[in-house]
Amino acid sequence: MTLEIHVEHSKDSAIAWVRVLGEVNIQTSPKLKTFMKPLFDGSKKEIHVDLSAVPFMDSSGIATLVEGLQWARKEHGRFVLHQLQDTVRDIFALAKLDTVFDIEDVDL
Amino acid sequence: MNRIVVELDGRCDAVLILRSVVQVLSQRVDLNVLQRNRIGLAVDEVYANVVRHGYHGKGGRVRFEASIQQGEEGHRLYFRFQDDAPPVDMSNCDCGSEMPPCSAETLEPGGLGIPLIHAIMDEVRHTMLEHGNQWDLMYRCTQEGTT
Repeated sequence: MTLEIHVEHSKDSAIAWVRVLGEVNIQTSPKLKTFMKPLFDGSKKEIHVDLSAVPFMDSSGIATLVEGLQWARKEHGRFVLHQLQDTVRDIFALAKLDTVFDIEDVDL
Repeated sequence: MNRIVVELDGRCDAVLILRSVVQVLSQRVDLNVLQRNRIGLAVDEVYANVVRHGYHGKGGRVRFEASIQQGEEGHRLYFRFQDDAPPVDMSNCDCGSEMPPCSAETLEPGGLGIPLIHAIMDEVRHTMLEHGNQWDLMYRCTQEGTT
């Protein structure tokens, strides 16, 4: 199983767009963390994560996204999740995370 | 017979085998996509706990048994994990069937796995064995939950 992650930055590097493709589980979540961590350390104002191609996410993947949430609080930035599939949205709702995260259905 | 038993090596990629077993059995009892996904997540989380905290990523024997049983009110799915990792005392883990409330201010990156397992499954039991651990999960396939 592979997880593809593509990151693009705005010209001034203030905004990052992250597109994730594949299942995020115990095997693949370290890769997601590796790609996301540098974004939390930098000078971003906004981080947008496109999850439209993620059919499954376990708690290890959610943990990385929670780090994004913490980054947003600490740095007064925006951390936005986009286009969750029904299966992932269901887990976010079950974990009561759907009201905590900034979730949009806007296509990036 | 609706029973599948596999023995895994406790490595991360073997989680796909578990998910396949869950898919097969949950399709046999006509669970919908969201139910199948939730059960797959619960099984994934137990296995991840064994791999990470039991074997610390170094691998080890994990026996997984999944079965369908007919109860009075419908089908039930049973899952059992047995490992050879050091026994862990989970008696202090006070997890109800409801996820605890969370907020952006208090949310921490870790610790969601066990509460999710309890929120998804109708019964969760951890047993310390002499030389390992056993997890028993049960999911009740209720009428309103099936397609």
